[in-house]
Amino acid sequence: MLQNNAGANGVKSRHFGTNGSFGKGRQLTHVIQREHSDKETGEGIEPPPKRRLPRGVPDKVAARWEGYKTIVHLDMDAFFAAVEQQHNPALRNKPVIIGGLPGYRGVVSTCSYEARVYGVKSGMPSAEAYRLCPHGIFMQTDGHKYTWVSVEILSLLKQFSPTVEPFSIDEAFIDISGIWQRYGSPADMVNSIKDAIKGKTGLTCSAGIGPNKMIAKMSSGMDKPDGLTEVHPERVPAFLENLPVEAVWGIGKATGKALEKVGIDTVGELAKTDRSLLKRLFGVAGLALHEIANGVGDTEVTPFYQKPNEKSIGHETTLPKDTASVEILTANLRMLSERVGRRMRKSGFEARRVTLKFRYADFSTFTRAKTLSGYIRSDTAIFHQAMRLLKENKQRTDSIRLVGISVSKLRDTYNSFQEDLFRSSGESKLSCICETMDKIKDSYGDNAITYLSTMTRYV
Amino acid sequence: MYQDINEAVNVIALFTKGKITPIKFQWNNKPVKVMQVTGKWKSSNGRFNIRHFTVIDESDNFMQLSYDDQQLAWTLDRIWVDPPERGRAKKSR
Ligand SMILES: [Mg+2]
Repeated sequence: MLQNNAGANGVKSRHFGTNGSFGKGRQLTHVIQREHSDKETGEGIEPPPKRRLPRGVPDKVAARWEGYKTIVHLDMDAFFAAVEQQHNPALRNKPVIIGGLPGYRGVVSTCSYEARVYGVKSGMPSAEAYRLCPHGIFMQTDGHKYTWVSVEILSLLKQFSPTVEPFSIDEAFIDISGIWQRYGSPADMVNSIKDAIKGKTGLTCSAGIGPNKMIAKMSSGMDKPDGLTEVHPERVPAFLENLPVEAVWGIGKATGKALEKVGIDTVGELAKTDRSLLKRLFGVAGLALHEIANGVGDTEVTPFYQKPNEKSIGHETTLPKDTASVEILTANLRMLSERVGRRMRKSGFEARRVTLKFRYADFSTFTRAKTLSGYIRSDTAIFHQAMRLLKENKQRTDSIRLVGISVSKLRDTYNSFQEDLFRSSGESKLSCICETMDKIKDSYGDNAITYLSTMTRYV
Repeated sequence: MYQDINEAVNVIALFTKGKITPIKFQWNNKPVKVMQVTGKWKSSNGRFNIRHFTVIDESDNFMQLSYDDQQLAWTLDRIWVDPPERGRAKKSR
C-alpha cells in the first residue's frame, strides 16, 4: 500500500485511491495552507515535528520494492527563501519574498511558507505580492548563493547514490534501486537523505518515491513541506485515479482544457479512454498522454557527470519600464543574446533554432521561433535572428514589458568541424570573436567586456 | 532590513585546508566576535573569487562579510537592522 507520513497536525493519513478526497490538487493546497496559518497564529511556538515513516519498516513492506526500479525525486522547500532564512536567523518565521523588489518590476521567484499564508505565490508580480503582504521582507535573488548551496546538496546526494540527476537548482532525481536495501527500505533511505541535507544545510525538502521519474516527481509535491510520499508500483493506478489531468507532470493548461472539453477530468478517466480516440484528438501526443495516465514513465536517471541533455537555453528580462522604444528593445535583445550565446558555448553547443518571446504591457505574450538552415554559435547571429523575429511579428506599437530569447535544436560543437569549412565566413569570424570574448570573461569576469549597443538598455 | 555597509575591515580568520573561517573583526573601533558562520558561498569574477560569509556575533547580530581572493582583503558588506515595530498586520488577510 501507499505510505505517507502524517502532516504537521498529526491527524491526516492519506491513502490515495481509497480516499479520493486528497487526490485533488486544489484541496491539497488548501490543507497545506491551513497548516501554516495554524503555525502563524501560534507565533513563537515551534510546530510539532512531522512524523516520519517508521524506521525499520517490516521486511515484508520493504521487500515489496524488491525487483522494481526505485526512483526518488527531491524538491527543496521554498528553496531561495529557506536559504536566506537559514543564513539570517532574523528572517526565520517571517514572510520572506525573493524576486523583484516592491518598487520595481519583476516577479516573485520564491517565497517562504509564512508569505504563502498571505496568498503570495511564485510567478506573481512583485507589486501584487506587496499588496498582499506589505510587511513581507522583499529581497533580490542571489544566484551565486543558491547555486552554491545547490551544489553542496548535490555532492551530498552523490554520497548516497552514484545516479543523481540535477533537475533544476532545487530539484533532483536519484535512482536508489538496489541501494536502499542497506537502509532497510526506500523510505528509510530517503529519510536518511533528508536528515543529511537538514544536518548539513539546515534546509528541508519534500521527497517522492516511485517506480519512475514521473510518479516520483508527482508524489514529491503531495506533502510539502518536509514531506515524504511513497507510491509503490502496484499503487500507481490508485494514486493517479482521482488526480485532475492538469496535475500530471507534462500536461499543461491547454491540453488540460482540451481534455476537459471531451469530458476527461481525471487521470483515471484518461487512462480508460480509447487510445485511438486520443490519437485522433491529439495526434502522437495523445498516445503519450495515454501512457502517462497509465503510469508509464521514464526511469532513466542521467547522472550529473554526463552531459546534461539540454533541450534549450534561454534568458528573459522584465524591462525596467514598459517601452516601445526600438533602441531599448534592441539593446536588451543584444544583452540577452550575449548571455544565451555565452551559456550555449560554455555547454559546448551550437543551435539551429532561435525563439523570441515578448510580452506587451497588457500581459499578452507571444513566442515566435525560426529554424535555420545551418547551426549558429555567435551572439550576433542569435541577435540578428531575434531582431528579425521581432520585426516580422511585432504587429502592435504598444509598449513591451518583457523580452526573452532562447536557442534550441542544439548539438555538440565537436560535430561541426567539417561543416566549418563551408560555414559562411561571416559567422566563422563572429564565432571567433565570441570565443575570444568568452576567454576574457573567463579571466576577468562577465562584465569585463560587452557590446557597446547593450549600453542603451536603460535609456 | 539589510543595511549596506561596504567598508573594508580587518579580520582574524582561520585558513585551514582550503577552508576560511572568520573568527573576529574590528568595526567602528569595536571588536566583533563571530559566534557562528551561518552561510558560505563563492561568487567568481573571472579567475578570481569573492568568498561570502554570513555570521552571527555575540549579541545575535547578523553581518555579511566577504573576502576577495585577488586583493586579499575583507569587506563588511551589510548588516541586518530589525525594522522598527509597526502596527503589524493592521490589515488582516
Ligand atoms: Mg522547490
